[in-house]
Amino acid sequence: MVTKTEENQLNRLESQVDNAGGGAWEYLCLVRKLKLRRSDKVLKHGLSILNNPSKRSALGPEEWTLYEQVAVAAMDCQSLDVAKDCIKVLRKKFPDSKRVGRLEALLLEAKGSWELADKAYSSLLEDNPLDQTIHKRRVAMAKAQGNIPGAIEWLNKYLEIFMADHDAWRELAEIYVSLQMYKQAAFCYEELILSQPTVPLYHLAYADVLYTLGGLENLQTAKKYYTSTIDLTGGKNTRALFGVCLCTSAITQVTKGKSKEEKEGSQVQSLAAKVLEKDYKQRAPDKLPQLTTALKSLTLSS
Amino acid sequence: DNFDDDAVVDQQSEIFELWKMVMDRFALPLLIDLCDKAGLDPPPHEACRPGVCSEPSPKTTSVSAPDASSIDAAAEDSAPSSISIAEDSPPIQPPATSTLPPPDSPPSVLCTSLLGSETALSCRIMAEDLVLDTAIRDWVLIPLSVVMVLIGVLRYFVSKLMRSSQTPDVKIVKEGQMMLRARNLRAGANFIPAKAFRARKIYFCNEENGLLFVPKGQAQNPQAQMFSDPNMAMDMMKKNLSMIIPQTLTFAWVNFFFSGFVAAKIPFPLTQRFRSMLQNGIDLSTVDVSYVSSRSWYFLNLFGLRGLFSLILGEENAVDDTQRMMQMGGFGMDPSKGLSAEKDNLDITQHDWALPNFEQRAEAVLRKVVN
Repeated sequence: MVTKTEENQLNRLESQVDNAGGGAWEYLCLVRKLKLRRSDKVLKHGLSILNNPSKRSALGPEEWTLYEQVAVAAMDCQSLDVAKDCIKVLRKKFPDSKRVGRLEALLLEAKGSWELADKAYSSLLEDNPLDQTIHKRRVAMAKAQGNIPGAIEWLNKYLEIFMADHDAWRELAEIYVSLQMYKQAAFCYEELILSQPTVPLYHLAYADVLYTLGGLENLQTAKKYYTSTIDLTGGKNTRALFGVCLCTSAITQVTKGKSKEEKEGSQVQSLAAKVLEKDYKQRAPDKLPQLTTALKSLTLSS
Repeated sequence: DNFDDDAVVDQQSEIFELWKMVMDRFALPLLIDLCDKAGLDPPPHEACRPGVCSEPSPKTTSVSAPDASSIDAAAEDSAPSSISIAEDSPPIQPPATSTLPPPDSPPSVLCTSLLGSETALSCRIMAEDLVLDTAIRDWVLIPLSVVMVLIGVLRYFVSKLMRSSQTPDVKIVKEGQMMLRARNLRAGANFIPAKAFRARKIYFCNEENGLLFVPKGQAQNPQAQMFSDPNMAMDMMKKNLSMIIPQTLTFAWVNFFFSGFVAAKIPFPLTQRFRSMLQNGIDLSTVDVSYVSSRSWYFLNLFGLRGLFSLILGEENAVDDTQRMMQMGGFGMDPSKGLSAEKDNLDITQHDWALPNFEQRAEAVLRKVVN
């Protein structure tokens, strides 16, 4: 997760670099550290440094890291020639390197020659069965080819070994949601919540999945998770507020004939509705009438 | 030469006579009178009779039997003189209150100085303050520290060169990740629904095929593996050697060159127990335990330079001897023990769903936003 200061610093550097104010190297370092995906900017500014021999030699040993970064960015922007050049330079310098081998396989993947890339990855994995990035590349390749079940299979195998990698769990959860396999997605989101309980994003996604699954128990749980999201975000998350209202109305719909217990949960719903109205009034006043009618229909149906 | 000796002795006796006169005829009577007039206790007998000692040594006041009559005689001697002084002065004031200097007079100072020096000598033989030569600081303390820092840096670089690339075992990585996941489960147990928690708990702790369950037979493996696997054994050997050899060499060097003298003083007092440990080369038993030999400076550096190394070499590379020494003890049962520990921890974890609280908190938050 990127912190606020880092975000500010990044934006500042970005604007500075875009306006030709220097500081390209710090920008590139920051992007690399935070693992951001700003491939076009990285490519432009990285190339400007690399093509300038004096600046290049000023970098010293960091030059090769820059080559690697630019190569990956070039592949992302589909300028494969640039990437090939960078990789050639790296290969000349480090003839026996696994990192360079990885880049070459990445190039094959970018070109679209899936079988060759697959072979390259498998051979790399034989040498080093614990390379996380290569595993992930394989998953990504399967996904790019449209082979979602294959991607799921690879990802599961990866998670069997590296079960504490929450990024992988997140990827798996999203794949499951795209395939409408909500139960498995719920499991993945639970894993995410376990590893990072204070991130409201996961609570929200989990609540969405539970609401989609339906059923009284799931609806009640979903409502609880929506409220926890509200709590974690200080009431600013519109989606969670809507979720609370929808859940409450759905619950009352399901329990309409069953038990006449007065639940005090309606307070949350009315409060959420009020906050929504206030929010819309502030930010999108022309949509306010639609909102009020929608909310009324929810409460009416309950 | 005899002639010289005689002259010296004569001079000494003359000086002694002079001193006796001043004492007996002037200082002491004045002191007694002052004490009388001021209403203080008369000075003690030792001070009154100093003159009986054979040697002219002003410091030692040997106490002979105070001769009461001689004291009175001295007093009487002084009395008429004082009275005569009083009479001689113009009769403006009555003789009882003669003009006298204030009581904080030289005689009392002389008296107390005589007393004080004697007491001072008698009590403080124990803790004299040794003054340590600054050369010790320049040539022992600083070079020793510098040498230890340099050896540490050297060791770091050597270990970097000699480090064989370890291919971590898949099983070990898997176990490590499993432990992380189990720990996360324990930490976040209250955030997921009870059903989910129970399902995961069974998954981990199930007796037959639970992930964390390590049957007894396998528990022995890591240690046997440690010794049979040549790579790991070599690694351990290398690590241990790289620590033991420099330590031994430095210790021997310190002992050889820097022994037999006091190197430093510890600022706080210590008990006698520490004497054998800290004062190894010093063979005097009366020296205060706070004065330590250079061997203890070596040990102090050994344990204390870790902070400095973490500054110089970067955070994780601190050549931490104390931790390594502790690790030497616990040899290899770590993985399986870790797993069973995690399993036990997970077994006893109760599930207390925290989400209902969140609901109330959300209410409060929303209320605040609305108002």
